[in-house]
Amino acid sequence: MNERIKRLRQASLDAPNCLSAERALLITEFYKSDAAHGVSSPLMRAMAFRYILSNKFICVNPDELIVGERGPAPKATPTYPEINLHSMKDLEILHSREKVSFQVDEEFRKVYSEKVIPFWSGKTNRERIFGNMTPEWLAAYDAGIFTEFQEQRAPGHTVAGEKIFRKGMLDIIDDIYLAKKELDFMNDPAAYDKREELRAMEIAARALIDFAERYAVKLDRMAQMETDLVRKSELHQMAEICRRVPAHAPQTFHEALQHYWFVHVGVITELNPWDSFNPGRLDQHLYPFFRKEIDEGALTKEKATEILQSFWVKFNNHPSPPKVGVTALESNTYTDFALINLGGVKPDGSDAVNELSYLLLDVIEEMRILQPSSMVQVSKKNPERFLRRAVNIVKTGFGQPSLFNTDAIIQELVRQGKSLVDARNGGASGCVETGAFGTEAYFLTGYFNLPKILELTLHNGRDPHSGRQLGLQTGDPGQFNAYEDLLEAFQRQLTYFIDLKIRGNNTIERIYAIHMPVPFLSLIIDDCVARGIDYVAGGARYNTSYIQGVGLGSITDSLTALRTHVFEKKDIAMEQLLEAMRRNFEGYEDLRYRLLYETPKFGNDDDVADEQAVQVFERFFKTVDGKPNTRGGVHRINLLPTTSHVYFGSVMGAMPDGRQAGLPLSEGISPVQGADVHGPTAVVKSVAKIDHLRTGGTLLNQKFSPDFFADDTAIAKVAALVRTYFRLDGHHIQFNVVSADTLRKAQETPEDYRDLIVRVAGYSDYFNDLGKDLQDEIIRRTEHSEVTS
Amino acid sequence: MKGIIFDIKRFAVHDGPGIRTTVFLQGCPLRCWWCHNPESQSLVCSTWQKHVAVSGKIFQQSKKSGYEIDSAELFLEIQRDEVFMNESNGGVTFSGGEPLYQPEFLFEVMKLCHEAGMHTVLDTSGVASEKVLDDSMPLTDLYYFDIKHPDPTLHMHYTNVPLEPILHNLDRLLEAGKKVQIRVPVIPGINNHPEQVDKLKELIAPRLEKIEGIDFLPYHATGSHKYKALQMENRMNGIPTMKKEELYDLAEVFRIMGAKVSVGG
Repeated sequence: MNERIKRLRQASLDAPNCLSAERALLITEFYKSDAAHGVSSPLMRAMAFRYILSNKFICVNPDELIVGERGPAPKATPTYPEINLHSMKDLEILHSREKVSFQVDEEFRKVYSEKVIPFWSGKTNRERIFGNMTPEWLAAYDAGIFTEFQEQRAPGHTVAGEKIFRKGMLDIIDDIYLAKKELDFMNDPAAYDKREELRAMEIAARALIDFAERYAVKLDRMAQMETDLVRKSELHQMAEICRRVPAHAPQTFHEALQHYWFVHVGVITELNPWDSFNPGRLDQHLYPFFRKEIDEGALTKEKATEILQSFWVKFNNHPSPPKVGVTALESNTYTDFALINLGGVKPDGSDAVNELSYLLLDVIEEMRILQPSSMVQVSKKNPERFLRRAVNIVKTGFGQPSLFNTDAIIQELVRQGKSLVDARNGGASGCVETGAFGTEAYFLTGYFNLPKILELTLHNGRDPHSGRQLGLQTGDPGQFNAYEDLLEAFQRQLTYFIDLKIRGNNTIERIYAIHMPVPFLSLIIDDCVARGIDYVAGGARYNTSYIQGVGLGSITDSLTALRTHVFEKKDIAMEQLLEAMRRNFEGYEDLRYRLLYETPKFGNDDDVADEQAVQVFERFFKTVDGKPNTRGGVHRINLLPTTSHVYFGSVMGAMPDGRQAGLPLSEGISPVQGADVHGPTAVVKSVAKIDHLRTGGTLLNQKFSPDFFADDTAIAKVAALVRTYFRLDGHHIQFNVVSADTLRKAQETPEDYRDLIVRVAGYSDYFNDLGKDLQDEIIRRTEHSEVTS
Repeated sequence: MKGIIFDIKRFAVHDGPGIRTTVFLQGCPLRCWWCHNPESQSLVCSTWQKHVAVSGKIFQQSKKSGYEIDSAELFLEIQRDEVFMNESNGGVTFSGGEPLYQPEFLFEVMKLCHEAGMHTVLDTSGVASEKVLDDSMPLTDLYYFDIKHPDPTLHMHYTNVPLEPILHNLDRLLEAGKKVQIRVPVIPGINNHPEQVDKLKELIAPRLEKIEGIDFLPYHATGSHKYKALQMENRMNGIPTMKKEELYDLAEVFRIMGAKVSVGG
C-alpha cells in the first residue's frame, strides 16, 4: 500500500472510539419542534433524517479519497435515543470498561443528562416493545431462552443490489413519481398511506443529495485553502464527484464507490439497523466501471486499488453503535458486520469471478483491518485459482475471507420462493445469513437456545437456573418409558416457546412499521418504491423473519447421552443423571467420565450421534418454517450464534453431554468444543447430515494449525476439503489459523497483541476485545485442533 | 477375512496425493531403532492405558493398539471419505507396521479399493517375498519405498534385516514399471554422515531415471513416551526431533544429481 493509504489506515486504527452527542441532540431538537407534530409517521421520520443531514458537521479527513462520516469524526459514534436510551450508568460503563469501550466526555454527559434523557425517557421504541410483550415472553427472554434483536437496533439485515450502481437519487425520485401516479384512491384503502410513504421517500432522497452538496461546498473551500497542488486538484475533483453522485447514477469507478458510501452513511444515520448495511457483490457492481475506465486508459489498477483502500478505511471508521443496559463483562464488538461478497455467479448463472475479484482479494489481504468483513462465494463454476487465492489469505490467520457455497445459497433462496435471477444476485451478509440482495428484507429476530429447551423438558418446564416455571408441564422425565416420550415432551416445549417468540416478533414488526419507518432505506431495496410501502412494513419484494438456532452440538450430544445411557443401555437412571446435573457433577466424576468418553459424539461421522442432530434440526425446522410474519412473508430458520453461545451457556446448568454449568455451548453447527476426534473430514460429513438447503445459513468453524497451509500442495488439499463440503451442500466454512500458544501469550500480555484478529463465529474480532470466557473458549478450541492435527 | 490394524487416519495430508485415508497395519519384520510406532511391531492385538482427568479425578482409558477388523468392515471405514478422495484426486494409503506383513488381508482390502476406483499408495519397507511383492503390483498405484540405511552392515545393525533383498525388491518394482517414491528417514548420527550420504548417492544413481523422487523425512522423537508405556528400551533416548531445515543441504545434494526431492513428505 502507498504512503497515503498507510497514513489513512493508521489514522483509522488510532482514532479513539468515542460517543458523539451530535445525532442525539439533533433528533431531540427535531422531535421537540413543531415540524414533528401533526404529520404521518413516515413523513416525520423523513424530516428527522433531513434535519440531521442538514445540520450535522461535515467531516473530511486528511488524505481521504472517499468522504462521508456518520459522526463528526472517525469512530465518533452516534446514539439513537428514539430506539434505545443510554442511562448515565450505561455511559459510565461504556466509558470505563476494559473491552470495547467508548470514550464519553463531559459535554456528552451534560447533553445527555440535561436534554436527551429527560426528553426520551418513557418514549423510546425499546420501552414500547417491552411494554407490549406478554409476561410469558418477558420471563422467557429474562431466562435466556431467546434474545430479541429489535429491542436495541432497528431491523436491518439487508444489502444493496445492483440498482444503486445504476440509478441516482433523481432517477429513484422519478420512480417515486411513477408510483404516485399509480395510486388508486378509488379501490386501494392503503392509497393514502402509500402517498405519505412516497412523499417521505422523496424527502429522504433529496436530503441525501443536499448532504452531498454540503460536502461539495466544504471540499471546494478546502481546495481553495490547500497549498499542496496535488491535493488541491484532488479536492476539486472530489467536490465535483459529490455534485454528480448520489444525485445521478455514477459514471466512473471513483464515483461508484463515493455514491455507495453516501447511501451507506444515509442508511446508518437514519436508524441503527442490524448488520449496518453493505454493498454486497462488490466485484460485480464495480466491474463495469473498472473495465470501461481501464480499457479507456482513464484508470490504472494502482489508482483503483488506492480508491478501494480509501473506501475500506471508511468502514473501519464506523464501529457498531453500542447497546444500552450494558454490563462491563458482556461480550461485545466494534464490528458492524458489513460483509463484502466476492465471486459467485452472474444473473445468467455463469462464473462471476473477474479481474476485480482478485484485485479485491489483494486489498483484503493488504488492509488487514477489522471492517469491512469479507467473504468469497464459491460456485462449482468458479475457477480453482480463485478459491486457492482466498485460502492463501485465510492462512494468514485474521479470519478473512470466509468461504461460502454459492450453489447452496441459490438453492436456499429458490426453495424460499425467490426467482432464480434474484437468487443468483444474492449472497450472505452479517455472519452467514442468506439473502436476495437488493430485493429482500430479512430480519433476524433473535437467537434461540435449543439446549435450554431440553433443560426445561428435563425439569418439567421449570427453569432450574431461576427456579421459575417457564414452560409447559410436559411430565416428570423419570416417568418417560422410552426416548420417544422425551422427544415428544421436547417437541411440546419447543412449539410453545417458538410460538411465544413468533407472537413477539409479529408485535415488534408492527411497532416498527407504525413508529419507525425507514423511508431512506426503502429507496434502496426493491420494490418498496413501486409498492409505496416501507422497508419495515413489507415493501420489499421478499420479506423473511429468521429465528437463529444455537447450540446444535450441545443439544445433540445431550440427547445422544440420554438416548444411549438412560433409554437404550439403561446403565444410568434418569434420576441419577438429573441429580448429577444438579450437583454440577461434583461427586459424580465417574458418571461424567462416561458421558464424556463413553458416549457417541456429534462431529465424528458417527450416525448414532449424528441422528440426534438431524432430529433436532427437523423439529426446529418444522416448528418455525412457514409460520407467517406481518409483512406478507414467513419465518425461516438459520443456525448461527455470533457470541450468544457464551451467554446462553451462562444461563444453563450442567447438561447430559457432560458440560458443566455456565460454560459456553457449542457454536454454530460445529461440534462441541473438543468432541470431534476424527479430523476435519469427519466433522464435514457429520454437519452435512442436516439439510443446509432448508436454512437461511449455517456456520461451521474449523480451527487449523498453520501447518495445514504449509505450501501450495497443502493449500490445494484445504481447498478440496472446502469443495467437498460444498458438494455435500454445506453452506459456509471458516478457518481459524492460529496457535493456542500465541493466544495464551496474547492473554498474558495483551499489549503486545493489539493487532491480533481471530475468527470468533461468523466474524473476526480483536482477540483483546473478547471477554475472558470467549478467549478461553477459543484457546480450548484451538488447542484441540493442534492435538488432532 | 480378518486382519490386524492399529489405526485409521482420515484427512491424512502427508501420505500421498490429495486427501487420503491411511490405514496402519499391525506387525513389522524390522526393528528400527528409531521406530515411532513400537506398539505396531508384533502382530498381536494389544491395549495400552491412557490417563484422562475429569473434574480433577484421573481415569484410565484402555486404548487399542492393534485390533482385529474384517476386510469388508475396513473397506466401509475407508469409503467414508470417498467423496473427499474424488474431489481431491486422493485415495487410500496402506502403512504400518509393514503392510506386506499381512499380505492376504491387505490384498483383499486393496482389491476392494481398487475395484472402487480409489488411488492406492503402499508405504513399505520392501521386506516381502517375491511372490507377495508381485501380487501387490496390480493393486498398487504408487509405492512409498523406504531406504532406511544405504550400508548393508549398518542396515542389519539398525533394523535387524538385511538390505540386499530390499534392493532386489526395489529393482523388481522398477523393472515392472511401477511408480516408486523413495523415502529416507534421516536419523541424526546414524545415516546422515557424509560417508553414508555418498553411499546413498551410489544407491540412487543407477535408479534415478526410474524413481518418481525422494522424500527425506526428518527424525521425530515422538515415540519416546510410547517406549516407556510399552516397557521397551528406547535406543534413541535423548536425541531431539530434527527440524526440516536441517535437511535442506542433504536434499540439495540429490537435487543436483537430478532427483525430484522433497523434505518432510
